Amino acid sequence: MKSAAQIDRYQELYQKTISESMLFLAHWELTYSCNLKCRHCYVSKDLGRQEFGLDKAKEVINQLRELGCLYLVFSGGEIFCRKDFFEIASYARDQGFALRLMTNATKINQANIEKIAALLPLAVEISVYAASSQVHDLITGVSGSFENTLHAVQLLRKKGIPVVFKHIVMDANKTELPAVKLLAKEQGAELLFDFCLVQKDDGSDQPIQFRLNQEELRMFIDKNNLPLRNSQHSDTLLCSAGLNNIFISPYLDLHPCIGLKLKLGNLHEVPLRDIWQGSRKLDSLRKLKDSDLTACFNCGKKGYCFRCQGMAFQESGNYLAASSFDCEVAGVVGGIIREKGGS
Amino acid sequence: MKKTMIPIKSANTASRMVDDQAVVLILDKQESMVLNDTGAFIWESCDGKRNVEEIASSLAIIFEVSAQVALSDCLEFIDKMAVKEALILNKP
Repeated sequence: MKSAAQIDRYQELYQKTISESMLFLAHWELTYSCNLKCRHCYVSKDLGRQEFGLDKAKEVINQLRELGCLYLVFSGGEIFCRKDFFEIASYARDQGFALRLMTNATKINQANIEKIAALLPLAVEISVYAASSQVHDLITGVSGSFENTLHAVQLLRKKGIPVVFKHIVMDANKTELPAVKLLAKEQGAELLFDFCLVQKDDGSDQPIQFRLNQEELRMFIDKNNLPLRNSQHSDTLLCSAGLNNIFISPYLDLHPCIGLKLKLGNLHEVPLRDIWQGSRKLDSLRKLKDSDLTACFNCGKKGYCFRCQGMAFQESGNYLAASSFDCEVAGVVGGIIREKGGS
Repeated sequence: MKKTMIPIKSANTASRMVDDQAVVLILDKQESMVLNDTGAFIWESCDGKRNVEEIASSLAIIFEVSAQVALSDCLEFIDKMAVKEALILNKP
């Protein structure tokens, strides 16, 4: 008999979940309600539709568990705007899920920090737009939000809960990254950043007007010494959307990922297993090859392109197409590489 | 460790079976493990109802090994997982 001792083959197993389409991670937007008014937010509530209730949440969690899903990412809107958030999250923990929480953190306080700690989240990911209230509050549209967020970070860190700063770069905060890096270091937080702003869900371009223009982007990438190659795309231009993960909206619409809003079905109408195992759209995604990306496959910029299928889908309704935004970013990166004498 | 002890998964873990393997996360340590088929079988059997000897008996039948080998393997595995605080050992 083989030894029952642990074998460290996590990566191998993770790849297996991808190659065999085993559901491993679900990203679930619990609500579109939010207490902030961020200028770049993509959410547009469909006032004719209702968000799910607690009983339905438990049913969906059970369905996720039955399919073998291990990781659950809860986001919003603002997750703590749901009055039943802790009931949903505790139920998910009882069912053996590992949780990540995405929040603006302004509703985290002494009264609920113990409940959050009891969930043992792998991380609490917090939107931090700047290292000062002046810029952060300008972006969130709510005075005092920076102070509340920072207070929450301190409460979480005191409890030993891993914190990740999520820093979205736009015109109003394009010079903030070094200060946010420092703040993250001081608070013992990890830092992730992105400069990708997307359309609103109703198709409005409002958030996109806050994107960095080409020159701002070039300065930002250059000044902050950002990596000029996308390690995720070293072998392929494709991503794992719908391969071992899924996205669920507050209306229980199912999509391959938060970026790729290709509607696969609705969990009020069809069980998750039927969609996960029977969706033709998912089947097509899973069979994709790089050569199917006719616009990108032979592109000279693909070595440094951060191509996103969701971005292409949002722009043209075709996730096989090239995204003009991603092309623009790749063009800027390519220019920097040439300036530095690379190829 | 006595074979009458009753192991149960710690609330500090999250886990799932992936085919015949198991992924176990120890949440507060941010540690992940992949268990092979025998480890996964023992892990899934640690339900707070069965003692080590009973789990070993099942293991012996399922994997067609002697009771002695199964018990030795169970004791070693459960002890390691208890040291990692992934399993809690309750007295009978």
